[in-house]
Amino acid sequence: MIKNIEPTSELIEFNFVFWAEYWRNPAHIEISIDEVVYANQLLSEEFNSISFKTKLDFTPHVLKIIRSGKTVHESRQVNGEWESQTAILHSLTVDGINLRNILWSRSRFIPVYDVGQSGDKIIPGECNFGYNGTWELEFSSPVYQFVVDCVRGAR
Amino acid sequence: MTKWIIPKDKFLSETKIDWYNQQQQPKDLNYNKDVLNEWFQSSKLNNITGWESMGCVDFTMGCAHYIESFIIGQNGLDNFQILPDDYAYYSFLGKWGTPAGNLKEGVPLIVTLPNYNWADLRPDWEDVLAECEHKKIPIHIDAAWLTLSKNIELDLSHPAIQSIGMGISKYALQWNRVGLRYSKQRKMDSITIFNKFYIHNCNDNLYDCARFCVERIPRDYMWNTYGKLNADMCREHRWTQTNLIHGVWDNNEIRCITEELGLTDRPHSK
Repeated sequence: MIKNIEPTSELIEFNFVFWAEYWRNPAHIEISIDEVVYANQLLSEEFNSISFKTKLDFTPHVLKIIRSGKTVHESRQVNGEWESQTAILHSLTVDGINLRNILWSRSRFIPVYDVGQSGDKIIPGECNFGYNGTWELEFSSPVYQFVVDCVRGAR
Repeated sequence: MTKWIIPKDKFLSETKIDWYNQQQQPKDLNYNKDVLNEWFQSSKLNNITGWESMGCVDFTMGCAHYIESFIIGQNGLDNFQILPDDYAYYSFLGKWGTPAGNLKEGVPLIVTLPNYNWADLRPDWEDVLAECEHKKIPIHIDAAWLTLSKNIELDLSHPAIQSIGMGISKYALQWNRVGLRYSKQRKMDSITIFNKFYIHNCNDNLYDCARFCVERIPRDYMWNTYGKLNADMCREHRWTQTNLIHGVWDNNEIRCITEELGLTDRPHSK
């Protein structure tokens, strides 16, 4: 019998959908995995879809989104209503799997507050990036095994 | 169109009787998988190469499970394509074929090989392979009929081929549908969940029985047992032999000859 050689890496597609609003300047995001940058761009109004494929070794990885471009000048009051610059990670689909609850329970957002602002240093599961900062998700490859382990509660 | 009847003989029927009559000892899941894997690879009449490229080997409940799992993995019917003249199952799902030459770039293709319309590989197979490689279309092969075939050549290491499903059912084992999925990379789907999610072993009984059967039935049993009879009948009736044991060309029409070979449910001896 010819031995089937188990793979040690996989080609994985990431599909991000962001929701953005602004009245002055758009939000900027940079997406990286293990410090390798795959997307670096401004977000246009409403839905923004960003996809890329990458080869991942069967090891732990860190997915990061650096959200920037928000200053105190991006927020204003109009007729008593606040208008601001919004950037929301609406969904993340990895290898065809919408991670949904995994994002909400396993990611973290580390905000960078403006002068005069304060709040939690780390916000677990926050996908609405109201401040500049870094969003992180630790995951591992193979992705199907990571998802199975999360659902099973083994992680 | 001819009506296909899966061949069956006394020996195959007795395998089922033996399974029910004999006391069985359970075997380890991986042992059962290794036995099946070796059995699928052991055909001397077909030339399937590139096994080493298919690193992920998972149990299935036959090729229908392979197909359904594939569809789940694509997140539905709109996210894959098939070729014309493929398995009727896809038509039942409202899925229609896209001819070779018009396949959509990057959209996975599932294809039945060998195909019963030709009792062989598809005549457009080489073109499909080239098109899929050019357009980066992943190919998934439903090889349900491979066990009854000869002279089938497939190189699984071809960059476009991503997975292949094989089953034992066509050896009159529909009563215990089991197969293996060979893939280059696992996706989250039904087969992955069956093989990787459940902590307790799934279907031990099913797989023990499959191992029991293939330990008794040689991989090329049908052609080695009935190949001469097939050839004699082709000569006698002026049929053209195909690469499926129970299919011939009769005046340019494919025809199932399971009954003529005496391999139906009717009482007969081997």
